[in-house]
Formats: sequence, structure tokens, C-alpha cells
Amino acid sequence: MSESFEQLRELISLRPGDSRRAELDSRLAPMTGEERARWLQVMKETDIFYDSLPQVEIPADLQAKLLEIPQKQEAPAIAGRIGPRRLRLYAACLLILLPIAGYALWNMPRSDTQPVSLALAADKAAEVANLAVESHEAKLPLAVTSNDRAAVEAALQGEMKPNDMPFPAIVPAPKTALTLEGGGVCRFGSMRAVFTRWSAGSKTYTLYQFDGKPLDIKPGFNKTIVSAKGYKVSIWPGYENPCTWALVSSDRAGLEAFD
Amino acid sequence: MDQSDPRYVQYQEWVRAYSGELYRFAYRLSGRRESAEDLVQETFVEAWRSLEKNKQPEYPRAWFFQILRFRYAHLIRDTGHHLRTTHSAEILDLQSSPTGEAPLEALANQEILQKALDTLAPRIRETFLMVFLEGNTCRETADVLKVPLGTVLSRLDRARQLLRAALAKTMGPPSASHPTARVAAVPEEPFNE
Repeated sequence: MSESFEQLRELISLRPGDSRRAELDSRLAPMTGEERARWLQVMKETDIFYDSLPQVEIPADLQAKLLEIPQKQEAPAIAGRIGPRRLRLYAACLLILLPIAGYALWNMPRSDTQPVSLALAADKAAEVANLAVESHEAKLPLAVTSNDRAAVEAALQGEMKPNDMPFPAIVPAPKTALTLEGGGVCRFGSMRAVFTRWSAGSKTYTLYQFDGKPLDIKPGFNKTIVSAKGYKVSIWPGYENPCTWALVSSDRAGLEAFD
Repeated sequence: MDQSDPRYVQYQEWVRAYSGELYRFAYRLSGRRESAEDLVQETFVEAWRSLEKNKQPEYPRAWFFQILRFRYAHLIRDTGHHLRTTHSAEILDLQSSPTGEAPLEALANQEILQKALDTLAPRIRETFLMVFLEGNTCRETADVLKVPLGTVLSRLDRARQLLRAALAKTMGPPSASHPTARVAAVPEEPFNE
């Protein structure tokens, strides 16, 4: 089955008013009259589904019944839930295990090693910054347009090819008031990266997630901020998985949005 | 229950925000008003228990629908697979429905639509409703159900075919040349959660 046929089947189920329906029109335009008429019939069917399915009468007392639930859900006491016999058993186990755990902790060999603080090498930071700024300035088209983080994350997951990154695409929550515009997958030097575009007022920010391994970037390095072509680029390691993040920002304030 | 308890305030907001659409979904899924009400109540009981443990979902709407679908999976597991699948006798009832509508417009007839929905296998009906009632895209649905996009598209095609067939029994022969009829019919799948 062709990829375009699959895409058409996906588009034909979109909600009326969805912006991606315009793409559907352009795909139907070159079709013969009869074939086009059949697809339009399916689209009409879709519209009827969206319109008819929500038409269900809601019981007038439903909300009142639901609001009573917390009153009826009195949580039993822990002792009552677990039962006195089992509670005594847990207490006995604790009494036996606590001294053993204490003894083990006391005698554990202590390490004098301090956590190693890793600085990202200047040449690596510059390379990442240049790649990120170059891509940011190219204003790449978004594969998915939405301000819903979950929706964008799911769509990016679908956009990624098996060899793009050895970990899932993540759309992190910003700590400052940035609006998500959408995202996509792009080239990032010799690699592929997932990018998301964010905005605050007239300012635009691009966040890249990529595998730092091909650039010999070690996980756990310290957050690094570098300047490139008038932009600030913040680079930091992933905490959920060994990916690397880079954020291109035209102002220093934007750099605090993620890390 | 202290009415000013922030957990109860949150709970009230959820009831006002989601009870209506959850009921609609439950009714379309189960086809029975009593079952729909039970499912929605069980969903909110579970939501309240989570609140009591100070657990709050990041995306409450998606979370509520997930609980509801999970409760429904339990319901049909406990009551048998074919609780909701319409028997041929019911389809024959459709044949005698004296409506003069064309098949497509007949979908707007609520009774006919629900009876046609009843002919779908639970897994297909669930997928169909996740897209056309819950409002997920096909990709989001595939992600939630942890199945490939192609599986979701096949289930939607199958749903359309079965709905057309159910309506055709009422109105006349189905259109064999429908574009989505190019897709091979998917077999009915068990609904074990």
C-alpha cells in the first residue's frame, strides 16, 4: 500500500476545521472526477461522525451523583486495611532488618572520590552552537504545528526514523512563559536531531535534542552557554537519557527556559 | 468531606469539565445508559482515590479517558466478549426501520448510528470513538494504544465498512467501489487489557 494512500487515509479522518485539511484538498485535486467524488464522500462521512457521535443526552443528575463520590469514599484506617496480624508481622520484620541495615551502612567502605565536574570542551560547544544557529536561521518547516506538548511529542515520535536517535523524542515543559509552536526532525551536521520551536512575544527559540555521541560529547557535562552569530546557545546534557540539548536564543533570558 | 479541601475543589472542577464527554464516550462504547453511568462513576471513583493520594495527572482529560477505557475493558472481560456486539436479529431490526434517508445521511439518525456502532468489535469501536468522539488524531490514537499507525487506519477503515454495511441493510446495497474498501479487512481482535 503506497505511503500517499496511507497519508490520505489519515488526513481524511481529521476533524472539520483542522488546518491540515487544506493538504487534503491539494491531494484530491489531481484525482479523476469519480475517484475524487468517492474521497469527498468519505470526508462527508467523517464530518457526520464528528457531528453525530457527541449527540447523546446526559442524565440530569449525573454531576450530582459524581459529586457525592468523595463523601462515600471514606478511607479506612491503615491498620484496618492491612489487618492487625499482618501489621505485627511487618513491625517484627522491621525490628530485625533495621539493625542489619544499620550495621551494613556503618561498615560500608567509604569512597574518597568526589563527583567529577565535566566541562564541555570549547571546540565541541562551538561546533554544536554553530550547527544549532545555522539550523535556527534556516527556519525549517515544522512537521507538526501545535502548542500541545504531548501531541507534538507523539507526532515527533512518528516522524523519527529508527536510526535517528537511540532515545525517544521529548518535549520538555518550559520554566518560563514560552509558547510551543511545533516541531520536526532535521539534519544536525552528520546527525539527525529533533527540534521544537518556541516563542515569547516576537522572540523565537529553537530547542534541539540529539545524540552527542558522534560528536564525542560525554554525558553529564556542565551546562554551557556560548555565543554564535549574535545568538546565545545553551547546551546541557539529558537527564532522562544520554541525549544532548541545545537551545538557540536571541536573549539571555530565554536561556533559563529549559535545562 | 470538607468542601474547601483543595482536593475536593479540584475534583469538582473535573466533574464539571469532563463528566459530560466521558458519559457520551461511555454510552457510545457500551451502548447502554446504565453501563455508561456505571463506567463514568467508576472512573471518577478512581480519580478521587488518586487525588486522595495527592496524585494529579499532567493531562487530566487524556487520563480520564484512559481510566474509562480501562474500566470498559474490565467490564467486557467480566461480562463476556460479545456484550455489545449486535446479534444478527438486531441488524435485521434495522432492515425494518422505515426511514427514507440515503445511507450517509442515515448516520445522523441517532438510533441507527448506535445500532450500527454495536455491530463493531470492541477493539474497532474503541479506536473509532477515540478518533471521532474523543478527538485524537490517528497518530495520537496509535500512540495511546501502543499500536502502529497502520493498525489504527485499518481499524477505522474496517469501522467505516461495517457501518456502511449495517446501514446498507437498512437502505440498500453498499458501495463496493469505496476508496477505503481497498484496504483488506482486519480480523476481529480480542479485547484483553
